[in-house]
Amino acid sequence: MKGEMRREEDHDLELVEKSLDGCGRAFGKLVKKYHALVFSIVRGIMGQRDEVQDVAQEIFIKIYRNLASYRGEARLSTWIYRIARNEAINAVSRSHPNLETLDESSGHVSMEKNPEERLERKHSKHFVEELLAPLDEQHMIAIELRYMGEKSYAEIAEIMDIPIGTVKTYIYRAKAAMKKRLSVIQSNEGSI
Amino acid sequence: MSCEEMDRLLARHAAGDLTDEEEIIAQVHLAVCEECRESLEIYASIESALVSRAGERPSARAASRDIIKRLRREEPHAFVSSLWNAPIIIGAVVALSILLTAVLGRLLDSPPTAPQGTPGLTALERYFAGIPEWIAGVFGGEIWLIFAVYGAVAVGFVVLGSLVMLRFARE
Repeated sequence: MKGEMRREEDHDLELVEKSLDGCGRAFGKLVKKYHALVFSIVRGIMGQRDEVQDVAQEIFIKIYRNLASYRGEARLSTWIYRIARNEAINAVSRSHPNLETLDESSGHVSMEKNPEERLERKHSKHFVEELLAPLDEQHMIAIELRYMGEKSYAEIAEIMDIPIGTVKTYIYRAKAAMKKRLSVIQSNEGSI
Repeated sequence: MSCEEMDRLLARHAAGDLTDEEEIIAQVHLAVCEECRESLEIYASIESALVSRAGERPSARAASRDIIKRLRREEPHAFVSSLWNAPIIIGAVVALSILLTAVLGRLLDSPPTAPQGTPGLTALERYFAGIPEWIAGVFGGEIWLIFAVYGAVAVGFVVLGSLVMLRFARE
């Protein structure tokens, strides 16, 4: 396992060096390899918005422009994670978020007007996003990396630079919060 | 084990993440606890909704193509042009021409050799020094034929090399 990780790091460094030497193909390979990671982080911070893909592209452009400053001290995935996280947070603060989300204290869905709308909403793919929306940023990123990015617990721990136990806790807390919210919504629907 | 303690196990149960021992503990508790069975159902529906989201991810290949295209547009000097590879192609043509000469020489059993008595040359130097005379011999002294054959080989390699470069440049 450690040998495999070492080979992975060496391969990444080789791709970084080739990219710096002007090889577009090597940078293209880096983009393909880390696209799921960057996209998951941006989704974790921004939620399901139209600009997610644009922000992910901006992040890769920034990664390219800063590639020379990557010294190989941290793993490339961790370095990319830090850039992506900062950029996504900046993008959110620039775009003046005006999204209507679940009211965490009451569990009411603020946009819904009647039971039919609620039912329709519950079966749309946005419903999961609404359950996820009020989660803490770190929990969201962990969940997105696990499910959107299809990363293992060990990979998430490396990327986020936290112990594997903390990753498991983040993911459990996120699911527990989703379950709680879902139960509240279901009991509200039942009471109507 | 209390229902509160079970909750964490149930979340992992829905994700198919339990050890054999934990699985037994969970089954024993679930057999007698209606509330936890309901919890497991909710976790299972959350799990399935989360797993299905991986399909919403856009194609990494398309994203990579767009990013490289944008970088080429915004920073024309970002990536080395395929023309920079011309010396590689020329080098390859020269090397392969020499190889072709050597192979032909071997096949015709008359390898190029400098005229006997040329002093101070190693075997390799004698070989290369003998190439022009040998070529003239092989092609019957027809200089246009020599140029035609080597020209065709060179053009062939340049075309092949350019096609390879174009293939890589598109990625």
